[in-house]
Amino acid sequence: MPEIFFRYIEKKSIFHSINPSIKLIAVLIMFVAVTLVMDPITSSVFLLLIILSTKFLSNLKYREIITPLILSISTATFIAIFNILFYKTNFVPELPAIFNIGRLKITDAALKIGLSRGIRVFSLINLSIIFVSTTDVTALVDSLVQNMKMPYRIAYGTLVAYRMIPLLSDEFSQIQASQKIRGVLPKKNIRSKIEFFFKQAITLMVGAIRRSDRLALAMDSKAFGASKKRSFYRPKRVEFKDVIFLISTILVILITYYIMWKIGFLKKLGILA
Amino acid sequence: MSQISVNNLTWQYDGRSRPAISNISFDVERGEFILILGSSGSGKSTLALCLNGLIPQEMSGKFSGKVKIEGLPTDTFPLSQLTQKVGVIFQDPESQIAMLKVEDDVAFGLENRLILLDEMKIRVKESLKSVGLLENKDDITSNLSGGMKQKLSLASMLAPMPDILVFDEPTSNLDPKSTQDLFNMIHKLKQSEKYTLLTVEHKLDYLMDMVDRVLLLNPDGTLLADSNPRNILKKHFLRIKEYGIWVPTVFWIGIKLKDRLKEKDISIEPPLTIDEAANKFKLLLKDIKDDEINIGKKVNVKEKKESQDKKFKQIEVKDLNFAYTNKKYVLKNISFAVNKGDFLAIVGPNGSGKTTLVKILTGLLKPSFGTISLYGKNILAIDPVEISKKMGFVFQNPEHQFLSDTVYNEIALSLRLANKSEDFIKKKVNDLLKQFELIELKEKNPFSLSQGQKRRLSVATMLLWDQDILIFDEPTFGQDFKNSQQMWNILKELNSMGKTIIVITHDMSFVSELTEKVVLLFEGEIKYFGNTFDLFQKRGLLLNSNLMEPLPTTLARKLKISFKDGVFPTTIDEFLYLIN
Repeated sequence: MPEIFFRYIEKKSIFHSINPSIKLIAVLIMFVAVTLVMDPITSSVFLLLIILSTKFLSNLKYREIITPLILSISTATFIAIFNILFYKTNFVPELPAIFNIGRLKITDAALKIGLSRGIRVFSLINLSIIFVSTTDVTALVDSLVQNMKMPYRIAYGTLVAYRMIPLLSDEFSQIQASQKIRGVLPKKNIRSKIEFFFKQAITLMVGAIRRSDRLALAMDSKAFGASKKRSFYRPKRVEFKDVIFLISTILVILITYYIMWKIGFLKKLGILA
Repeated sequence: MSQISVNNLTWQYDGRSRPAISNISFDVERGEFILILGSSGSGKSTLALCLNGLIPQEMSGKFSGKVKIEGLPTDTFPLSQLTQKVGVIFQDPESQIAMLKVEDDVAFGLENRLILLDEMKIRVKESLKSVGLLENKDDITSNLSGGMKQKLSLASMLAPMPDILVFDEPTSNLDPKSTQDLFNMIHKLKQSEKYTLLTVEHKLDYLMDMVDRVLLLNPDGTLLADSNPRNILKKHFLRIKEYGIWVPTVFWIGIKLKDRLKEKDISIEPPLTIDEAANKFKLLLKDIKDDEINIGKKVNVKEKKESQDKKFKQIEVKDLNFAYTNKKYVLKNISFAVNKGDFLAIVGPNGSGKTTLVKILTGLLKPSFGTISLYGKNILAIDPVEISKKMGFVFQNPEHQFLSDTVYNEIALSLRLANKSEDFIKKKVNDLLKQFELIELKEKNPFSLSQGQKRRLSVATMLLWDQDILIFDEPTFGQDFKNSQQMWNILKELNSMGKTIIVITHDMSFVSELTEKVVLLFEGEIKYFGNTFDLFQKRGLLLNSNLMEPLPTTLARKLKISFKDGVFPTTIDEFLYLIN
């Protein structure tokens, strides 16, 4: 289940207290900023900034986010190694090797690109971890509706659907068990397995559609969607500190860019390098 | 003006050939408690949805007649106000909770109605308090037990301050203790005199004392009778029996007693509530002077056949422990054995590990520690297909097991996979179809069957290999009286043919009337393993494990009658034997 990897961890911290919509915007800006950097040193600086802010602003303990961390480290390592080994410049005969692994030639460009991509992926996953672990989903939806003018029917409708995900995954394993116990197993070939999966998926859908019908009735009974407006049990405001937080994030990005450019590491920004 | 007035109400869902309910008229006065009775498919739930305007405003179909709530027509008046006046609590706890947190869910309906924050805070607190969930206000809703979820749904419905509450089989997914809790809550609502209550429910034993009036529906969705419960049961008992509708257990006992007393020329009016039963039966016993009555020895109503092979251990569970990935043990040190021909019940509150245990027994899950032997062989060493030939398992939701497009193919499926000849298959399948009264439905799609038919089909698909052991998860769940009785008889018959039957159930009358042995699970441990009769003598144990004693036992206790050795009857027949 996805919740084992990514989940909200209830605590008190600066990150926890920031308005969720503002936090989302800040994280998205940071996302773009990190993605645009191709130089591994600058990427490392951003990574360091992300790690430092997690340490000092989130109040999260490493062991609380250890599973997603391991996941992100292994993904990043894999991407780094893959690029270092197989980046296209390694296969251009004219380019010099900085070192060789067996018959593979490793070029300077491949090393840089590999490291940079690895570090960036690591940074991006970490950003997501911080956001998810410090943001209550309900609070995010509340804030998107109240502060960002998102239509409430869509926002809360999605939230209700989100609540159903673990139920569906439970039901799917029940269906699998029910059919396994009949002694009906798919044959070894892929086709039979796919057919089998579809049959189970259809059974799941039948149940899910009925459930969603019932849910819709229950929501109607609670007057959901009955009026254009809604009052709020958990009012969300964008406060002064949230604005400061957003501005600081942007400033940190610009200052880092500037310094790294001045020292000569950051030469240009790019999208897909 | 009546608070609810229903006039010639007819509703036909789009795509259906006949109306779900037709030509229904009745009035309800403020403060009344109305029980709606009818067999499954008679339109009880549909009627409930007509009261808060969801029908016809949110569903597509043909509507005629008039429903008025406090004078307001439900087909045109704004839904937000109608649903505020009429709160509905549905059957399935999972599909009526909208929010992730308890207090948010209560607030949800208030937010939609633009109630201001200060007022909301008060109402959320009040509502949660009145259902006893205030301490859980910050809990995640998906972590709540079924019973707590239903209480939460009730709280969410109380918060908009309705005048009318409709309960649509609110206890059918709950264990006995949670059912009792919810009934107690309904009692309180009734006593507060603030609400008009309408209930669709088939567990009537602890409800009848509240009921002012019964609406009895015909299977075709017309209204057969509208009167007080005594009249209804007296005048329409034969119909009720024919339609397969549940009646209060004490009424059932009364009917049986009436038959027996006829010979002695004593007449007795069957009682409706437990208290009434106690009083009436006491009068019958008044000639006997002793305060405590101890008669004879316990009769062996369930004639035991102690044959040789009865001692043969089919399943043996030793020191079983099980944890899912999160390290918390769901089952702890479980040891018991099942002998050939046993009729065993596995009972315990929701979440006590019953289904997990059965999944391990059938090899669907692997134990963390301990062993399960099937015919003396470790189950982990047996091929899954071989296990399914020795042991059949009917899950709670029959639909989950369906894989084919017709009833016939559904049963034939496993046989075809085993490469049996079509002739053989034809004979076998037709036999089963006949046995389970499905022969006329054999070309139908399994998903299109009624609840009872689906159940029977799922049982039939499990009997192909003449397995010696059959396991059922809640076989009578959500079924009307007729279908339940039918299932009881099927299980009894299978058992008398020498098959070992293991049943997970919340239905204590099922346990007391049919089974011989019980495994009682509580928080993952076995609290009791032994004879069914003896279990129901242990009142403290039952109480501590959130179980209810069977009604005949309760009644005997009230009457202070018992067998000579001080044990109480647990089945209806034992009770009748005593009172005779």
